[in-house]
Amino acid sequence: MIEILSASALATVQDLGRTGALQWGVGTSGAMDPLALAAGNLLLGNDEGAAAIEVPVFPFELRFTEDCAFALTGADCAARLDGLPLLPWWAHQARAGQTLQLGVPLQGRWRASRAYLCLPGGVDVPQVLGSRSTQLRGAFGGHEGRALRRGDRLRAAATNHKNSASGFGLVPPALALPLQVDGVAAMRVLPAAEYPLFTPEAQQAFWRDEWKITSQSDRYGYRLAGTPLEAKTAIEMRSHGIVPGVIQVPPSGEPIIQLADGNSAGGYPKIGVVIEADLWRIAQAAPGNVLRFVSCTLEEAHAAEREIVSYLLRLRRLADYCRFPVSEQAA
Amino acid sequence: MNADTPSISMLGTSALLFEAPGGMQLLAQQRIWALAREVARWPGVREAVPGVNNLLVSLERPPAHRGDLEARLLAAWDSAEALGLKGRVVELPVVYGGAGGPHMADVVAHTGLSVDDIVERHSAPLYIVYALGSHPGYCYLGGMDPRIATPRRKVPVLSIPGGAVSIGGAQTGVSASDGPSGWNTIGSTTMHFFDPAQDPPALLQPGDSIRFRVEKVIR
Amino acid sequence: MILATNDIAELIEHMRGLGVAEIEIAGGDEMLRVALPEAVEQSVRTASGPAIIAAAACGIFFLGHPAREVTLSIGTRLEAGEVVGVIATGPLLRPVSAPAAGTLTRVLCEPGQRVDFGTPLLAFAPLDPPPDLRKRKDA
Repeated sequence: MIEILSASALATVQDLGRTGALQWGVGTSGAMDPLALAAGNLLLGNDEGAAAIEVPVFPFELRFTEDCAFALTGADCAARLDGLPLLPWWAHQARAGQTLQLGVPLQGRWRASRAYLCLPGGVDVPQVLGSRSTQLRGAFGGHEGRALRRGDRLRAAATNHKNSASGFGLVPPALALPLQVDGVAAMRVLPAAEYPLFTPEAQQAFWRDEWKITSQSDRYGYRLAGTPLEAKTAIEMRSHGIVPGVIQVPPSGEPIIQLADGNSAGGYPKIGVVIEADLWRIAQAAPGNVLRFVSCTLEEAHAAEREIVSYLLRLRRLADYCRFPVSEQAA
Repeated sequence: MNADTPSISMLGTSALLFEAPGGMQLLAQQRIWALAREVARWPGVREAVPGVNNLLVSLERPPAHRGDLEARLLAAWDSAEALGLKGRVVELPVVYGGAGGPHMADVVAHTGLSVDDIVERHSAPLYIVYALGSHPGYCYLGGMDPRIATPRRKVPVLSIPGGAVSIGGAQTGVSASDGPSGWNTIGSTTMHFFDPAQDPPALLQPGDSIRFRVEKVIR
Repeated sequence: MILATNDIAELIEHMRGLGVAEIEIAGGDEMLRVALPEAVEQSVRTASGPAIIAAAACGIFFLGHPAREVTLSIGTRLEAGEVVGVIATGPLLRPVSAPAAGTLTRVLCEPGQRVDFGTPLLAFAPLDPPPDLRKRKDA
């Protein structure tokens, strides 16, 4: 019961990704910021991994053709419902005919890069190979295997979408789980197998530099600009499976962070892997901005993953109380 | 990576990469296929994905006892017997060079060979599909003549079209769809490699073979 | 201390959500007892004029939204039900809303402060004065 009004905003339907299909060259895809997706779903009482709409380019506009609850997470894009300002990271209620406008993400300390629109029960699109995520390269999954266009109509999967609770929100992860180095957004990295093959100068530069996210950055990966990272000798590897977060260094020395739609295998040397718990931070770092890499141990990476699980679990419990207040429960 | 012994490395917290020793051998690849089948059955393994003489082990969650897992992998490799998969043979017509082969000049420059020599050597072998990966339906092929090996590009190209026939290091393959690549594209072909409605969705599997037929050479 | 202050606020949310009115936690030689009030008024009209918007939850009060740098100022005209701030309990944010159309006249609680049920947050002048004041005026 929503109709897309924007022409081309590269918005796609994503869930938490497609697993089990690497054997056919099918990577995970899925939300670049899985935390925002999960949180938006929990605000509505959905399963964490219900499909939502990822909006990376703004402005973006849609119309509700029926009464519908919805949640907006990710970038605070000064959203308005029929012109009325909406709070970010919040569960809202729309009436039939109302227009939702997402503007350019607000500047300032919390500026982020992509927003998520969640609907009750998730966005109703078929599963392909076990997931509702859009596989852009393979042109399948999500909504017809492509980005959303003006005129597209999508439904919420829940039948009682009109009566979901709204009017509460949550503390965004950027505040609840901050991570910065010298005032710059930071990502924790585990060194990869080829890390020792880079020169000491390259290794130092990797941890020290403020890496600029170039405009050649998208769901496939982020290309970074900074000190060219040199290997001790030319490295030519056999193609091997890689995962989102892998930082490849082609001979040019300019690192590429492989992301949700990145190739599922590659042969460039890998200097490190951004931990899974920090992939959402990359997703919300906008091209044109800088980021830092922080070394971490396997134990610290595990702790980071547990921290996210804990944040979502607390959120689910508290949001459920808001959605089912005791005073309204049957005796 | 030591050329004589396998190496195992973590890829993030929940994946391991097992690399077989030696050069790009069919025998090693057949043992990787066997290893993949074995490892895929282990509890906690989400997927065991063969690469080119390597195996990516994707886990449901970070391993509790990484050392044990690595030891078990090495033991499984030691006892892995070559799996002689034999599939079908597919012939692909290729237009070498021209607009569909924008990096042919780079291969010429690196190898010192003429376009005709490169085309002859590239189209001679019956290639075996070693593994699928990179993008839906893409096949990594084994058996390329090492004399036309050309290193991956310094800067990967943002988008090369589906059907692109390319050389990356000592490997060759055909792109199944438009997308980024660090390989050197020397020609183009047409073929459907992937259909999500089919089961399995990839139309080629490890053990199948590809022969490139020279349709045309644009110098 | 049995529970950190932040955790007590979250505990209160769980109590409210589960319908638990009172809880006692003993640990070592410490005891923590939490009792919820019977009812919580979100806004209070004073005899002399403006209404006071009070906290209806336990947690940390923010004017506007903690992830937004622009906040409301004195004199801001508000619609009935408009969200003017939030109270953060753990990761949850509950709205603090204007009880009627009117104007923000004073900020009574420093943003970033921990608040309890009933803590006065904002002074608010409704557009329509309360009925008893109107009566007195007419007299």
